[in-house]
Amino acid sequence: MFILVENVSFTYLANTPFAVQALRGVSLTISRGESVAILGRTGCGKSTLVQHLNGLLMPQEGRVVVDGVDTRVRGAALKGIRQKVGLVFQYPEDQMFEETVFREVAFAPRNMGVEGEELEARVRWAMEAVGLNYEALKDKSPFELSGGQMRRVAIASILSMKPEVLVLDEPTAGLDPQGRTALLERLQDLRRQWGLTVVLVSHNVEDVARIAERVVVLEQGRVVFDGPVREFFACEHRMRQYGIIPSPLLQAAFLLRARGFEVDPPLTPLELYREIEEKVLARRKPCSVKV
Amino acid sequence: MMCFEDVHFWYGEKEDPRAVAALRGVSFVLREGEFVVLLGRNGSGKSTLAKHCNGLLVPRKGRVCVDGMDTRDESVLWEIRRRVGLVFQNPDNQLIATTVEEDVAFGPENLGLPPSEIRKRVDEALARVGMSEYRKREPHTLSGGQKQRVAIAGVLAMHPKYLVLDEATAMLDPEGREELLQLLRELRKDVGILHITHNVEEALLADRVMVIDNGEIVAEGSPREVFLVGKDIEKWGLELPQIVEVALLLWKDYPDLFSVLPLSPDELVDALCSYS
Repeated sequence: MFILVENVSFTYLANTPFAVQALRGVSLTISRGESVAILGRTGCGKSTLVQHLNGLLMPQEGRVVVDGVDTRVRGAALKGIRQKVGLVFQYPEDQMFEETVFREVAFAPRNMGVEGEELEARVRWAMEAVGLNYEALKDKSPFELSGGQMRRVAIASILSMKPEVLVLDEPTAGLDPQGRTALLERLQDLRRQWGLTVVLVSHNVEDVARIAERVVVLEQGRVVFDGPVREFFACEHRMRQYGIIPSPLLQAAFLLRARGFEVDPPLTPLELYREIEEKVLARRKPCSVKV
Repeated sequence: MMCFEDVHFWYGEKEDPRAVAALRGVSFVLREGEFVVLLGRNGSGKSTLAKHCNGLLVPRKGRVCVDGMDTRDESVLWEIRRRVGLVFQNPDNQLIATTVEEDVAFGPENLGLPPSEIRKRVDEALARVGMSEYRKREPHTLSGGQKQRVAIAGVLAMHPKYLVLDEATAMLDPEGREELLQLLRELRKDVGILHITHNVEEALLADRVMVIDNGEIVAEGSPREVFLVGKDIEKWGLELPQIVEVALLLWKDYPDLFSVLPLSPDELVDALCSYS
């Protein structure tokens, strides 16, 4: 396994009257090339958990091991972990500060000592990997760009470190449908072409359906579900119990199941269409079972 | 009635046919008691339009009238702003006082109302958005959805006739979003609502949907009418609601499956079940 999270607990403001326990004995493993979504309602501990994955937060109990190295190391080994696990925060464009897109994307590798032609090649690769035209945009100010482009510059500025794992906290928040689709497709390409491991923090069921294979659900700092995405989407009761609102597609599938049609939970509109053709219309079974 | 008549607006000195976020001849009417959703991609001009509703921006050409008052007439601007409440995207940028009830009282205090009337309006507005029990809380301890409800209470305490929400759901989690949409459904009887969003699912709740692209209203009608365009909606940078996409695929193969386009999961499933 590539990332091991073992029995991790974390409390903010520990030993004060304001202590809030964010993680309670969380264990999970992430393998190379996986695409994992971490779900749960606001305040469940998602963001605290992902900040443990690259040593930004250290476990107060338990341990986190990345590629064989415990995150509590210091110095060069910790830098190595932060280079391997790239973390993209929510609204990452709020943290941009450079004058040009090139300088923004070059910032991290330059700090790692990358220079000259290799630096340029990295910036070009990272920008193209997220679908930004290098020549057209490299000299622009990041702040002249559209919201979707700014988001992609922010992600490119992490990719330019050549991480093996990309952790994204609500990457599509605030993007319009085109910006969102473009970003999710680029993430899929990165997985396919470069074997990038993707950890997505989200409460958007549609995003999860589009790119994740596996779902980890947190509730009050505990892992309450860890399994394939379709398995999680098969049970409406469980989804709602953990504050995840089923997409309209899933709601339609649940209604059809309640009326006696064995429709599998769909991830895309096309899948629901095929399920309906095959299992509802082809059979023309009367709706005898009422909700 | 809020009325946009051939409104043109551009940022900067001169009109530029390619500039983003400009308005190019926008005309529409929002009536009291009507719930209208305005859809548009980033840069389509939707926030520029929102700022015209209460005179934060005024047209370079054409005019905007609220109950007959022109937003360019400075003598009626305060009355226009009382009648048209705006709620913005970021819940953290809209609350200014140290407690919830003081925040809601800010507007009525500035109207110079007597204290008993302010008290009454604050209590009513907080009850209306379901936040009465939080009235002594500090705004920063609330969730995003709760903050947006307080922001709306602050507007309601002015007794407005129109409520304009500029991507007010964009930064909320799914539960906060549901809360806010439920509140809009309840408020629609009393005020005219213009809800601006790029989330097509939210448009399904509207009496009327308008699509803005490149500064022009390019489609207008009931949700059923507007979403009949099918995949062509992508040319405006939008997507179809999921259920509509499934329904349109099915409709191609089974032309007699639906008498009207289903919009919700319930409508889709009911139509499928009555078909066989």
